[in-house]
Amino acid sequence: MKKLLAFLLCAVLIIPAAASVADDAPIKWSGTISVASYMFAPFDPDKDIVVGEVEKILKEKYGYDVTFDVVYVEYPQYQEIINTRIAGKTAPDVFISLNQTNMDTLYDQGALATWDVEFFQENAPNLYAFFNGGGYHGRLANFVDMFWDYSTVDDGKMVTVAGMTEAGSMPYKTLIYRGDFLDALGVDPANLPMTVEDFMDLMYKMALDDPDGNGVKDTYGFSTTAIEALFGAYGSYTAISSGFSQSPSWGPHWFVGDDGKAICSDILPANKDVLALLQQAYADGVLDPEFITGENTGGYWAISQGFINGLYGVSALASIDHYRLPEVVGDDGGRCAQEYYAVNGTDAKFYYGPWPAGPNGDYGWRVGYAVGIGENMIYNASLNDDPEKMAAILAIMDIFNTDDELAILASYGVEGVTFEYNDVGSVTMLVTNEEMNEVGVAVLRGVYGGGQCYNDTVLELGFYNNPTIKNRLDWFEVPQYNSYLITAVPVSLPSQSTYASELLAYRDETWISIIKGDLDVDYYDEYVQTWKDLGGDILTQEANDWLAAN
Amino acid sequence: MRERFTVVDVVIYLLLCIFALSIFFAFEHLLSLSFSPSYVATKGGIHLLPVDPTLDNYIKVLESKYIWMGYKNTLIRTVIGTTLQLLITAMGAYSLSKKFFPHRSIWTFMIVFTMFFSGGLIPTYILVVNLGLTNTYAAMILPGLVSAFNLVIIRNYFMSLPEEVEESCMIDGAGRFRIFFQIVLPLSKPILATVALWLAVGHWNAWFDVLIYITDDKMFTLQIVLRRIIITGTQQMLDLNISSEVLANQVQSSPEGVKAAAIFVATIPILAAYPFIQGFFVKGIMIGSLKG
Repeated sequence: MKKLLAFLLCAVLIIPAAASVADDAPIKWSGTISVASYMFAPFDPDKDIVVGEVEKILKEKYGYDVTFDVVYVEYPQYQEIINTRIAGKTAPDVFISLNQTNMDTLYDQGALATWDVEFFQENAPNLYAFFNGGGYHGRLANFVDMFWDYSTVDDGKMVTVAGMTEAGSMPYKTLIYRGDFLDALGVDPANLPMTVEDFMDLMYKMALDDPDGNGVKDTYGFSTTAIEALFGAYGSYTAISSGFSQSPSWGPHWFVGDDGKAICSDILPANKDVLALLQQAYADGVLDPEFITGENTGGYWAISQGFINGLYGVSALASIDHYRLPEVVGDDGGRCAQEYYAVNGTDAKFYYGPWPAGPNGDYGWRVGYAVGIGENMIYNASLNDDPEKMAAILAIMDIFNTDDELAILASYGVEGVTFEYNDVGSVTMLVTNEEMNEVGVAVLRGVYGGGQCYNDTVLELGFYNNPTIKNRLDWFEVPQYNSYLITAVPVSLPSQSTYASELLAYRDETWISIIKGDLDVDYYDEYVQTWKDLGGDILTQEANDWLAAN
Repeated sequence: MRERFTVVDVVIYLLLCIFALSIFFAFEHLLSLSFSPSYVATKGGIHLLPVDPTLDNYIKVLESKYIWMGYKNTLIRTVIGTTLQLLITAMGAYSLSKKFFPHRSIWTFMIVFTMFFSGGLIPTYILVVNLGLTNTYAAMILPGLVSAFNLVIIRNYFMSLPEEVEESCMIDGAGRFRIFFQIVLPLSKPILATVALWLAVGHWNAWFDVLIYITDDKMFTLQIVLRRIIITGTQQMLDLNISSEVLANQVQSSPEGVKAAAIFVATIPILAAYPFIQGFFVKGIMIGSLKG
């Protein structure tokens, strides 16, 4: 009798267990995936509320019995550390590409896994359709070819899933004016200068009409970043936001001339007019004499100390997000807005202003492409020997594309604990970036995509409905706030690493000398010829070759 | 007899005072910044006294659990590392200081050679990984256990000790180990204190080896923790072309005051150790350097 009772009890215990097993998906793959995402702080498994849950869902619902090994790599030293680990064969399975050059170098060294496009289509069919369809609601349909171009290498194999986000092709900068200067000079913030003439007129007033009212000539009109606005007005582009001789990460900027040939913005004829304007402004005490070193003198990169402290009246160092007004999100405002209020008082005002247009109606600053190499993930070459694992990695990325619940969990964590939904259809994080990563939020960034999760709901919550982004879009609908400059050759040219730094140094040295009056403006013609001789011609040829091939 | 001050002395003292002040003012400015709200840094200027004094920055730094964990790990590596390094280096130096040591010049050359040519980062990394030392204190201590420079300095000091002292001990029946531990080491306090200070400061400030060899956050040292506090938000994150641009704008960067406080939290303990060793320091370095 006892034996029968024991048997029945066992049966009672086993039946639910068996039932639950029957509900689970059959195991398709089992193993560990190590990933080194972009993180603010190390993931703490003891505090985990996300990763374990994601693993559970992937196993029970989709049959992927995966354990994620989340590797924290300090970002400023990311490249050095990952390269060392690649050499020591201890690199994680999935890591960040950082930039095109780094990815190319690692690929050339045989450090990266590659796979066929068909393999991607087979294992990640929804993502394949997502990218081919132009991303979220097809808004990026113009960038599909570019996506495949960036994702594949010479033999047509994929080496990454390139980053595809509208943020890249969206303008994010405009001029920011000091409200107190405008008040003192009687300028209506609703009628800020639309042309270079009006802009320079206001700059002269800011420098010479004592807008701070202290009776001393201690202000200037503008500094480094507004110089970019003047180049934009003449149809050119310079990347000097961080100061002269600070190598821009995106390299030379290329335009296509009337003859259909590529021409570098550094040698456009119109630059001569801008340099003449700047030379005069410098001589008249309108251009900040410290324009050479940039506007940020330390601390957070987007803070222009000269602008915030009232040394000059206009700046374009920060993005419009940094100067987001407090009422947009209901917080203390953007990062730079907070500093501005802290120094100038909470009643202080600043205003967004349009890019001034030049004689030919040109205006603006650079905007980029919706596809790029940077935050996207690349994969350890060891995965070439383990196609099942590579297939699982792609399949898991695909699951995040379709499973909203899983995507929200991995991206934002648990509602009420790490985030909450807000009235505008977006999310508000309840924890700091560090706390977020400690409990497992966004540490699987590398597994579900790269910079963001390629899931429509998450894109709506985090991007399209994000008040900061909406604020940006609203402002850039106003005429002439929009930026239009876009490089015709958005890749690193083969000889760029050989010639770019010398060309940049020569450009900066010459232009600074012209602006300061040490060289005559007419020297510009000689500069152009020397620029070509120093390797500029070779780069131009390569830019034209790229244009012809694409 | 009272020493006379010459004009040259006055000029030297004046220059030294200016030099000392130039360092002091920077330090003092940072100190006042650490007790001031963040907007003071944005506003610019040099402050000898805190503006709107506040302890918020220190509270923010010290309430981080990573700080205390970092302190613990740094203390462990500093104490164990310095003790072990000093012991092994002194033993090696003692051997090489003996003229009767077979092929002494060859051994010395082999050690000095490493001062000019090292294996490089990647071979060292591969060695440490293959020895299974990652995520252990050993990874922070063993790779630099014997510094050729320190070994030569200590060897030179040992060579200056009179041989007769050791001979008399031997006559009294002392063995090599007893002589080394009970005679040579106590007689070499100045050089040992000097090298110990170098080693301790080196361990205290070390961060790159932790970055490379340690992946377990519970093993992170103080410098790594502070580095994270200081670095956050000081640069544009990733490529502006893609979504990180949005992310970069939302990064919660540490205010300047917090960074200043973090610097003081890191440097005060090691600064406090200086005065106690300073006397030995001057004597030790002089003696060690004069003998070739």
